[in-house]
Amino acid sequence: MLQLFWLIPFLPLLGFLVNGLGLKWMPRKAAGWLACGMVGVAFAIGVGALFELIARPLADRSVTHVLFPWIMAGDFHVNVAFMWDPLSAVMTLIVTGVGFLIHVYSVGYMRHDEGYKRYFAYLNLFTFAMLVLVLADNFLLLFVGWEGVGLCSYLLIGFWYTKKSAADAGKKAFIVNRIGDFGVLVAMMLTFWTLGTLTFPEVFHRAQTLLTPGTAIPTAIALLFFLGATGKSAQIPLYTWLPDAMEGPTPVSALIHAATMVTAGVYLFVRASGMFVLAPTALAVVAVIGAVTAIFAATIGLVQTDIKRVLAYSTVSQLGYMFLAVGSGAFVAAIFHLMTHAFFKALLFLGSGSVIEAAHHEQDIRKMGGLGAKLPITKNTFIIGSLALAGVPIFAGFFSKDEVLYSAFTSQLGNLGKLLWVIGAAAALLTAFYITRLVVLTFYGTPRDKHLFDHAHESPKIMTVPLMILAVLSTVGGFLGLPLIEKANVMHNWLGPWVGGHGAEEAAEGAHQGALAQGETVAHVGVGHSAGLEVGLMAFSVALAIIGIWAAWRVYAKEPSRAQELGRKFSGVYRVLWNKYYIDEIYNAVVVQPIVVGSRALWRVFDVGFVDGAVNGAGRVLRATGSYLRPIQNGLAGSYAAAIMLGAILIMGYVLLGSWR
Amino acid sequence: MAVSPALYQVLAAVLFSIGVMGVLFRRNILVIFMCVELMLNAANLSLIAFARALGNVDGQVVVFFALAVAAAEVSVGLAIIIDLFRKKGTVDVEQVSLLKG
Amino acid sequence: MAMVGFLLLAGAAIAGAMGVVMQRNALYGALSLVGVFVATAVLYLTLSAPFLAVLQLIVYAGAIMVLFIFVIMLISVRYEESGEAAGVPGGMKRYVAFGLAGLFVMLFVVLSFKMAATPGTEELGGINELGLALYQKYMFPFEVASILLLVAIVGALSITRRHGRGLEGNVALEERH
Repeated sequence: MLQLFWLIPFLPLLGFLVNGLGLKWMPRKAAGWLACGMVGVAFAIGVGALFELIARPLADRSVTHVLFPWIMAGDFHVNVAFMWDPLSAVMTLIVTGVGFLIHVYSVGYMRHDEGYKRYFAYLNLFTFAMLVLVLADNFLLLFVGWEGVGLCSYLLIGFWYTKKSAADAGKKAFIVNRIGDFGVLVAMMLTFWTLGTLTFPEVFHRAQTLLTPGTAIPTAIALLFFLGATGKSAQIPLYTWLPDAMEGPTPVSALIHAATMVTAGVYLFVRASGMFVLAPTALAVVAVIGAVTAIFAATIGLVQTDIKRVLAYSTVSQLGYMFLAVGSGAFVAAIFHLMTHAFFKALLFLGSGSVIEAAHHEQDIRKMGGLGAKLPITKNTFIIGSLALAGVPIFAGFFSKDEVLYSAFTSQLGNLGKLLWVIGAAAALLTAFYITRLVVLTFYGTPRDKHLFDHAHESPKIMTVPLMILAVLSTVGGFLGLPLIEKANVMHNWLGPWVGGHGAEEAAEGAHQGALAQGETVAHVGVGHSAGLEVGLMAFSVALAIIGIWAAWRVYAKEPSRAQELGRKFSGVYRVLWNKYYIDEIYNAVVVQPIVVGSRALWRVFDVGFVDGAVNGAGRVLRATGSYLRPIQNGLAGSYAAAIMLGAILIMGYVLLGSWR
Repeated sequence: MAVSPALYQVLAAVLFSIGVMGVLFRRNILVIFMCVELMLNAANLSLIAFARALGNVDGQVVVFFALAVAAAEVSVGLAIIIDLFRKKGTVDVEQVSLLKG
Repeated sequence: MAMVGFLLLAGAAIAGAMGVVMQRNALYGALSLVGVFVATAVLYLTLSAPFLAVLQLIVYAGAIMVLFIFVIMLISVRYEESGEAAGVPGGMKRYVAFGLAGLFVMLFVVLSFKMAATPGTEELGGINELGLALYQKYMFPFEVASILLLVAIVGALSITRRHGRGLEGNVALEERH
């Protein structure tokens, strides 16, 4: 199975081709099941390949399969090649596993939609692109996948393209991403320029020797890649597309904007961590932005009234945590949180989809309430997801979020790290609050819209079963990263040697030594840091979660009018939060409008003035010339004869002159 | 003394030029046509003179054919003139500018 | 002696040519043209081209000019050119024409004198030689010329045909007026 791992991306690609090219003749049902099947088989192959990888000794856990040499230009060699190692294995299983569940869910959710087949074609295409991204063995191929998921995001956000807001949201996503992509491109060029290669193992090897830590070039490379990551993973300043992306179908939001695509930025950083550890300043910037984004988005999510928007801002916030981990040097923690977040956020989104369908596509939570009675399975799974998000033990989110915070506190960032911990903890408090608010307003209390309530009904099995599976994963997934007990921390033992600048040779030295060397700093729990501190911090964050939940319960469940009161008392703050700090409006005024005005001016000067002017001018010149020359043709034979004579004279004269010499 | 062949050429040139003037200045199309014949005739004269000067009979052969062609040309040309007269009622070239533009 | 003859004939030709160009009445012009042809025919004789001289008289003077006169009679006998007299042209054309003519003559003169070395060397073979050349070396153009004449006949007929039926179409022009 391991030898076949390179097939994994091509299965969904095949699904895309069949469904895409066969839009006319493919039977509806078949299209959906084909798409699911392709991802499912890919997952199966992934599992098999994973087990074979586990069976191998530590030093042997990286397999590269070259499909064909791609670019060979002078010194520049890039292959189309896939690499199977612990990191890419984890990512692949997340993508295909959660992806499979979402595909199945979509068969139910989209069953009435006209664009059913197109949907599954796009979904498969996305899966293909994402798999290329995580399996690529070089930056350039990763970028191909990067762009591919961006394209699919555009296609799927704007899936209902006849709706203007959806089409606009798709464009916004693509364009904002593009700004980030510019950063990625420049970063790749810089990498190649200084290191002469783009293939991962070589890059990290050469980086150790050719780049001096802390100097301009590695910092620049890291920051430029981070620009791309802020675009793709919705951090400040390029996050604005993600809330708007909720225009797309809910399963799309679950897959792309929660579990997979938005995690591409995090993956990029963890994959290239070998290079980034040489730029501690850049990593500090990453951590700061991550933490700030986490709390910033959490505040906005507090007051949103669209069920999907709350979750969208929650995603932005949680991605901030992942980058906080990256910036603190805790690369394994980042991937761990990525994984748990994929489970519970997908669960939450799919659950919200179930609610939305029950409410006949109403998304405003102010119109909901008391739906728990009508949608028991949805309610229960949703609650599990919320508990995971809020960081309540034993659910998954607790372990991963806690590890992130602990890493920030004890990172090499020193006091900055402690400050970031405070910010992260505050955000965690807000997280617990807003998600409880969402749960209460949706599932508890008296129904605010009787009509909506009466017609609500639980979703079919095909949608609820994936919910249940994800709920299980959200419950037990955390146990892969148990703290304190080193031997039991599967994630660390698995991924540790492979991030932060290590390749196979160093992994062979043993995880311990490797981790204590330059790359891996803090995330290796239980070694060199006091267990007491960790337990203390853990208890503190649990307390915060419980306080948050309790407060939200008090406000929204017990005394609903309190919410209105608070809203009125802090009306200014409320308005700012509700309008998302007016960031979109600011961007529009500062960036978009000047560009539009400038473009129009350029259009007028160049396109209309020069180009059209030149073309029309040519025409005008010809017509003028014509009108001058036309009188020669006066129809009178006499003048024609005169002209002939003149010509004859000229020729004769020429001959004569010739013969005179 | 024998006549220099050059003189015949001069004569031909003069006749030709006179024909040209006629073509350019007269408005009656028949007169113009006659001047064209005059020009043809001048050319023939030139050819025969050269044939004599070079001792080559080819010049005379050319004139022979030129004669035939001139005959054909005249007949067709006059037919056209007659047709033109029927359509336009005039043989004044200044009034017939159908090809204008 | 030969010179005198030449000059006389040349003078006649030129006089006739001037007559063609300057006569108001087209009919008189046609007659002048006949005179030119006759003078030219005699010149051919002096140039050892007897056959062609006779041919000139028969074809040009005898057939072509007759045709011309028919048409003149049909069309423009009543027509006198109005406006500008032939000999006094106006405007730009005058200069163009005189310039052209003068230039032409000059050029030809110069060319001729450059080329002309000696007068005719030996007598040409006359009709004998001409006939042989026609039927041997120039056989193909000879045949083509005959086709050309056929084409001219058909063309002339079809152009002047009235689009009625049969021979009625070719009634004399007088009736139309």
